[in-house]
Amino acid sequence: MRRITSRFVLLIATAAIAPLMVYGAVSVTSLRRANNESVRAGNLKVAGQVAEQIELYVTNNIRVLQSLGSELTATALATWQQDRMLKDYVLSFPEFREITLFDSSGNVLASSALGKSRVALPEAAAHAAKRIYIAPIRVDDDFLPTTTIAVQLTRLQQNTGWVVGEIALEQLWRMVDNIRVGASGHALIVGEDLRLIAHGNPDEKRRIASSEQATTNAALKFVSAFRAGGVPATQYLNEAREDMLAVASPVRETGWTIVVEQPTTEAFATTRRLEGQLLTAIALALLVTMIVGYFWGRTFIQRIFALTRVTRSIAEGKWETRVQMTGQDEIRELGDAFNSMADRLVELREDVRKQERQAMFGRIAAGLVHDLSHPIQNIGNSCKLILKMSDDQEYRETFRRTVEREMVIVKRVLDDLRNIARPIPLERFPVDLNKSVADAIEAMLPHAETAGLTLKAELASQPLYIEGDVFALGRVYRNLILNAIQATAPGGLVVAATEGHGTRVQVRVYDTGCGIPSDRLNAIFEDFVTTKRRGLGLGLAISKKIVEQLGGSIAVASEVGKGTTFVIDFPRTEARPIALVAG
Amino acid sequence: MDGSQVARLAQDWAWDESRTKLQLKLRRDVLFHDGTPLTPKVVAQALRARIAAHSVSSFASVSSVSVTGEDAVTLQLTQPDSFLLPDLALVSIAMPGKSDIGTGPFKLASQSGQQTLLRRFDQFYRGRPAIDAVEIDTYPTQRKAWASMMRGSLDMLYEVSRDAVEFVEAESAVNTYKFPRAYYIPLIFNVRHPVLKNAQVRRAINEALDKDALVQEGLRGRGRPAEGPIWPDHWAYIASAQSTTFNPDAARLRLDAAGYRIPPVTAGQMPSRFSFTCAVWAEDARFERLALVLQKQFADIGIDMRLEPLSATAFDERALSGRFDALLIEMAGRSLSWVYRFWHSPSGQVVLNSGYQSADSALERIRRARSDDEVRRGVVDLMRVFTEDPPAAFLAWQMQSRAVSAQFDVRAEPNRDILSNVWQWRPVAAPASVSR
Repeated sequence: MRRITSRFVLLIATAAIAPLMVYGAVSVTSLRRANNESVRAGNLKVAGQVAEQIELYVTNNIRVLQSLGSELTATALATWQQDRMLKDYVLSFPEFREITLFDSSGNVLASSALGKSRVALPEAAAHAAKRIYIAPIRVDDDFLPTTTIAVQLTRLQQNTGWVVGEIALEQLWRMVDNIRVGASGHALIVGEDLRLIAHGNPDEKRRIASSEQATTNAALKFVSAFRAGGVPATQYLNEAREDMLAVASPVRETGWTIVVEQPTTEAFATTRRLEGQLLTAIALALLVTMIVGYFWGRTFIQRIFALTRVTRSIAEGKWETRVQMTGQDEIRELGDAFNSMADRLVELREDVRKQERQAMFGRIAAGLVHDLSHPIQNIGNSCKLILKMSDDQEYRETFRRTVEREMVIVKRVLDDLRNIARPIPLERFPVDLNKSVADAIEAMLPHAETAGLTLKAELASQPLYIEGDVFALGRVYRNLILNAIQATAPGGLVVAATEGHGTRVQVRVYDTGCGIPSDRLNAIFEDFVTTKRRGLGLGLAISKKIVEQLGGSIAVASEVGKGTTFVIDFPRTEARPIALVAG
Repeated sequence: MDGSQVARLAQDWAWDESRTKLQLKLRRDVLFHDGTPLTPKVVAQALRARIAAHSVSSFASVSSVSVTGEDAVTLQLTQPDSFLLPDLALVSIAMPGKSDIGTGPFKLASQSGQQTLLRRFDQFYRGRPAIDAVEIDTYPTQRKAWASMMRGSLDMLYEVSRDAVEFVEAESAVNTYKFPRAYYIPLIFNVRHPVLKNAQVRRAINEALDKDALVQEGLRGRGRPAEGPIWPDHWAYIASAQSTTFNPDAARLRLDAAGYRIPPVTAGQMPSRFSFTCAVWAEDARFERLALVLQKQFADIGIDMRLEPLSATAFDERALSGRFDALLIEMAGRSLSWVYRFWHSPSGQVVLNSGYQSADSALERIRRARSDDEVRRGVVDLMRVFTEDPPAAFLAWQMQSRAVSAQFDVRAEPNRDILSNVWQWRPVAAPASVSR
């Protein structure tokens, strides 16, 4: 039964679960790969947009300076007007800490600064071919990164001076601070010299003012590799040991690099969520499959189990049991077929029983005929003779003995029949087993002599006593010895032996007769079963009944052609026969 | 917070009926940093020394200081002076002849150059400080100090610059604590100036100023417009019904009426009604942007305000000597005594020499007031005078921010300076030192 269930589970697993799991694994892998690529591409796009914003920021600042330069050069402004204009620009554009106007020789003409200008015309700008010069990031007096943009002023293709603006990078920070990717993704700007210029993570800003930033920050190493031709996206552990997804994008105007960092837990959160949803769906599908499979299989197997139960019930003799099948499938057909088969079996059983009864009746009738015909015939013959020889005193005596003897036989047959139907009345007293066996042997010696074989007793050396009925025991011995004599060819040997084994005593009757076929051995103690051609076959059945009523047991072993051994086993008793006690 | 005095070394005080005798009842459990008990005798001696120096105006009213009990010191005044008590609150009591031995929570351990090291004073009368030591570093600019804190060299920043405060506030390793600072920024006029001596001109200048814009653009929103030199949270302050509001048109009309019209354009010069020069402290970047905004607002109504950056020394010299047209400066304003000190015409120690005398009468009434109500009435009069004949354009009260490493629990209270309870600061994790 379990094997069917196991096979059924295996079938479901193979047919449904395994494919689902394979599908799930393939789907999750594909989904993860696709989404990760999508996230990287998205962040790269953001980095590109940030780079554009930074470029726009720088470009706007350049345009501011260009616009200022145009205003300064377009009209002949007085110095005070230039001074106010510079100050107005600084107020209007907080990106600039200071804007200073230089003449073509590098002398300060006007400045937004209240006192002496802090800004100098970059030497490289004076010699640069371009009209716009962006100075590399430098550390100012306050140890913070600063840069300067210089815009050349021209009139009639002649250099008339420079407008130089010092950029307060804190303003750039504000812009970078406003860039957010997800909840905690941020941008950072790395300068040409791998110096951190801005960091969107407030807690990381301190690195900008730290001189050790270049050697410790994984982002800077990534930028270095990126500039050397490396991939634009990577993952690394930041200083807080947090796994970050980082993408890089160059800022063309300045040589800076934008890095967008986002914790992978957040960047790939959608992927993880989708994976989770997919896995949940697959798990749910598996669960549903298993539940459906279980209940469907249970319905299927339950009907097989029902069939099994009915089969067992019928085997236990409950012939009226039938299986109730639902559905319209093959199992239903199987159940109907089973019920038809059971109906047919009942009919066949009734036929068999009828035949058995008839056979039994025939056997009993034949046995009765066999057992009673001879005495009745003898009585009949004697009755015919007594009519003729009624005057003969001697014959009447013979007639009386004959009738009485034959009537004893008839009575015994009738007693046997009666004893089969009801308990045999027994009187239990302590019995000397050796003596009872010896008596039986002595009584049966004439039969043995007639049959031309040897009958002897092999008695235990010590006395053996049991609680028994001496007459009933005698009948058992007689049955067994008579059967042995009848089954043994002339010249053979029949022995009745007694043995004691602890609390048990045994009587063993064996012969060198024809033996009993093994297929009939188990039935020889049943009523009306005999190995002989004639007779009721009640002898051994009654013997067994007597032995068991006396608390003993009887067993048989036989080998065809070698002989048969009957062993009667009784519990030993400590009691002694009355005569023995009295004596 | 409101200018009232709180018990510290003096646990109680009482005036007599004539308000010419003040008795201070001292705590008995106070020790100096060298273990010497604080006694009335020592306090009287210290007060006598400070009074003799006439460091504040009210001390001139004190005729004697005497010990009047085991825990009492009595000051005898020649006439009532309502400024005496707030002035006494500002006196640091030190061991006579040993100015570095006081009674505070930290005692001086060493001092060299820009660094001062203070050690915990275990017998501080308000309780044992939790911090072992305080190391004070001085930086030339706020930006430099902030950069130093960004590098992790500091546990506390005394003042976070207005430009940096938003970055510091965002940093999780640092907590910032802002509070209204009882310091205001005035543009002080020298009333001896040929144009600025005209009260109508000064009123017009006040009307021309958009103080809200000044706070937003000049102070990055870290402050609130000022109506006068009196701390708006002071117990005696009553908002004036006659306060000056931003009205540039009225300002132009007032200047026109005063005879200061915009002249025709002259080559090389700004066409202005008049011009004056404003001295600015060049070494403090806080004033630079504010000065530029002021200059722009004045230019809008045709006033040419020229800016003159000065070193601190030169600036002070000009202020004391009166050689200036206008000054852009920061002034303390929590105590009425300080208002008197700055805006009463010099009678003793000169703090500011602007030639302004119009408020003398009102200030004197406040000083000699015998009750709180008299003080309040005096304040109302003073505010009226400052509106009608302003000695300055009172621009803004400042909002200050201090930054402290998140490693410290500073037990901050809303709108209160965290330094007032520095002895209660506790390290959150491992013991550490505080420095600025």
